[in-house]
Amino acid sequence: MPHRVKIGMKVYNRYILWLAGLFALTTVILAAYGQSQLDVYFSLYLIESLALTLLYVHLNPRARRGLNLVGYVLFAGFMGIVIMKVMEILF
Amino acid sequence: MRIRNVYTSLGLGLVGAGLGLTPIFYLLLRSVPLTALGISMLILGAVCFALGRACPRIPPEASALLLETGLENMAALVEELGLRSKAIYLPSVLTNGRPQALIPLHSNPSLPEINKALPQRLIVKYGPNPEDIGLLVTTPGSATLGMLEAKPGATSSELEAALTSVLAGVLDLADGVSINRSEGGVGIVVSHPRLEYKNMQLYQNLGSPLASIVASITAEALNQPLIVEREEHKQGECRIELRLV
Repeated sequence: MPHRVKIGMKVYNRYILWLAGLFALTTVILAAYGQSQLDVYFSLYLIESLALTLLYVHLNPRARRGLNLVGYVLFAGFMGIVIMKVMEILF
Repeated sequence: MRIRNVYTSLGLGLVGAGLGLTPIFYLLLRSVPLTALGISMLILGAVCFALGRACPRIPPEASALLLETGLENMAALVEELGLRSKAIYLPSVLTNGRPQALIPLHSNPSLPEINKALPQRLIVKYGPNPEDIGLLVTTPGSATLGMLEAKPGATSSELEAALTSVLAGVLDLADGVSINRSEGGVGIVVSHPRLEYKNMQLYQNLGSPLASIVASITAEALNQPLIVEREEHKQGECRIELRLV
């Protein structure tokens, strides 16, 4: 077989590595600053995953649809946090 | 449940670890950073699942087998007919369907002018002279146009985006593409191509599969026939020169 066979797709591997790196860096920096609110961590994770998905414009449509779905679920979680915070303030 | 690929396995592992560790970190250890880490594992696991579902269903080994078989059949046909002329990549408007390549049966210093759609046959007459006969073949590039969401535009940036989308995003055959337009031609540099170049007669006629994909998409974007003038493979990049006919 003249063509080398590899594991996975390079563009996907790079995406996962970048995302994992961003999450790890965010966690370390926030922990170093003594951040004790979980919703801050979650909000930053949401922003990072949405931004990275936006930057990877050349992903195939199926991958993009799957990642957009993950983004919608994360955003729904974020909205849940916002609603809880609003309710804390109001009641 | 059969695990289809490495991304699905990774996703399962990360989600499992996240689901198991997050409650422990939150309830037992009462550590917010570690709980956040557990949540990040869940998010990464979901991302891996999403990417696993988008992976090609045909394994890379099978794809390589199909490509090899198709190229060998084409090479046998080209050698048997003794074809020496370079293929002319035609946009879909000239082939009544998808972009194809025309290999003239006779070498001719002056390239033919094709201004009307050719019939959908293997052996076609493309001009008024008796020797204006050629093979109209489907190339690896012909099928890639269907991988784009829309017909690529004619500007350099649109063409570059289309080629990068196909080669790096969909097919994972390269890391990136850059375009350099010149008078009567287009220079394309493909960085870190992952298809090997073989020194065979078919590649002299049609160009390598990579050049074929680039030429087909470029012909469609510019709506003009073109040929693969030159192809140069060096460490880490492939330079393809296309000449408009």
